[in-house]
Amino acid sequence: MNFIWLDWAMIVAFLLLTTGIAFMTRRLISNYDSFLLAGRSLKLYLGMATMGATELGLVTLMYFSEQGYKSGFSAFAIGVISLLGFVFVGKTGFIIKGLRDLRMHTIAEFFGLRYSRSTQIVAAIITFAAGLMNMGLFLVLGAKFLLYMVGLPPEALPYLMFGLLLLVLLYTVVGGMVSVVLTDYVQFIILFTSVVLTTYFAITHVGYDAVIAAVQIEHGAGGFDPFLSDDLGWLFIVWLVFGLPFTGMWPPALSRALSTVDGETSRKLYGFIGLSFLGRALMPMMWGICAFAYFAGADAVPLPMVDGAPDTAAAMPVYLSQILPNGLRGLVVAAALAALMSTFDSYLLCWSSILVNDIVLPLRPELKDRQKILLTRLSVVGCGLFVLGWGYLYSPPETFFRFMAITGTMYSASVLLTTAMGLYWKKANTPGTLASLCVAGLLPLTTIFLDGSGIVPPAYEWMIEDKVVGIATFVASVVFIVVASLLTQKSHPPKVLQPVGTGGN
Amino acid sequence: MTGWQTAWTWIFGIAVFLFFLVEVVVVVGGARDIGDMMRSLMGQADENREES
Repeated sequence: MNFIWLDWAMIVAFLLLTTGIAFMTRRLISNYDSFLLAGRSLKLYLGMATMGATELGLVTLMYFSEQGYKSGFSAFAIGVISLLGFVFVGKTGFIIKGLRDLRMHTIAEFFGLRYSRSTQIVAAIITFAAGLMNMGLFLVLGAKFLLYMVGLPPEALPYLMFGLLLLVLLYTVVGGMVSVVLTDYVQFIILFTSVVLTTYFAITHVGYDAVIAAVQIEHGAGGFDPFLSDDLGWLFIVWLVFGLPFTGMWPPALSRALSTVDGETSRKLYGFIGLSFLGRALMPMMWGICAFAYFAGADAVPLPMVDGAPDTAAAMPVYLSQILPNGLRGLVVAAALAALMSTFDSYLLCWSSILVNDIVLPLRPELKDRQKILLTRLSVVGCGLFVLGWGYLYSPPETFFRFMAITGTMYSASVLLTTAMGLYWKKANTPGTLASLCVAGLLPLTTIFLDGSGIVPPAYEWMIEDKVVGIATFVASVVFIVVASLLTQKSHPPKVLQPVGTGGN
Repeated sequence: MTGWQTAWTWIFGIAVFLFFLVEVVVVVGGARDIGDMMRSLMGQADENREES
């Protein structure tokens, strides 16, 4: 056990604070809008806090650090592309401003307005499936971090996963978006402070020159040049650049943009918070690189093994557990819990709202606010149980980040790309959108379920590699929506939308 | 240091600075926004109670 009483005290204090907020905010929930979108009353800075806390999850720290451990400094290219994406969205308001001005609750709702009810349901199903698979690894990665930081035996992993799930379910189901927003603010402070402090200790323990030397020896030029990297390479960079215009539009982040007071605040939100997204990626990557230098040294403790191979995802928490001083270790675990909860609660609420708003409601429009809240709460519990099972049973073939990237592509190349076409291309129509949604929603499943399974002959394995499938998905999606829309203009004339307004609720 | 190493070192420094800057701005501005949000939600709750 790596913890002393001071570390435990910090964690208990944090848990009491966040669950207390959830119970106190219950009385503020008066209707479905206040449960799901905090009454659309989020202003800029609080929106930034909640989006920052949501998008900097424990899973984010884990997958970025693992990528840094495996790719060295080349992994930094991911953070730079992400920053460029945020700058683009922040400057142009691409997609987000259009959706906010149309007063959408969720992105799939736009499909109902612009195309048809069936298109809305298909878009919602793809979003829901991609999101649930993506979220499926949150619990297991979060539990692994806590396991190695605290120093618990590996057998405790499933119990830890179950305990974390119960904790998150408790205050998501009780409080809804209001408690999520308020706890996000507290979590934002703890989280961002801990990330900066941990970066300082991670680098100073091994020394920056030693880190560069270790990466140079192990990876050579590929440890710094992403185009020469064995793990990444130019195909990977092209794939990420294709997704650049859709940066930060994963539905939980979008729900923050749709909760703001107006479309202009949504655009500003992306512009400002995007500035922190470079650090969000690079700092945990640096922890992973420092862990790599540490484990390359002679004085390191053994790296845990999984199925006979080193557990690269465990490298960062094991390293931090060895180098952080007492007290700070407790603060970092409290911050990690904050990161896990702020991301997990928002994601649970988001997927559940998609299930209710975009799949159930189009079929059962007569549901009352009270029934919708109950249904959303039940689906939060259902999604949580799925995540528990998926995280325990599924192992991604590549790094965890690359699994996140391919599930992200499943959503962005289908739902976001067709949303953009619907907003900015007058000729986009229902058949074109349906064709694009289906092809881009299904193609990534080949790499998710077949890569590493041994089913595909070795000579054809490159075809199901995530980089290849990712690029092919974007290209196929554009081709299908353009060709199918143009071919069916007469039989299915496109709808024209008028924005509701740019201000107020 | 090679060109890539120098570039990544600078970019990393900028990343840490921006991250810290955003934290300070959000913590100060967010506290004010919380007050506004609570007033707005309490107003909505009162309105809904009166309607029902």
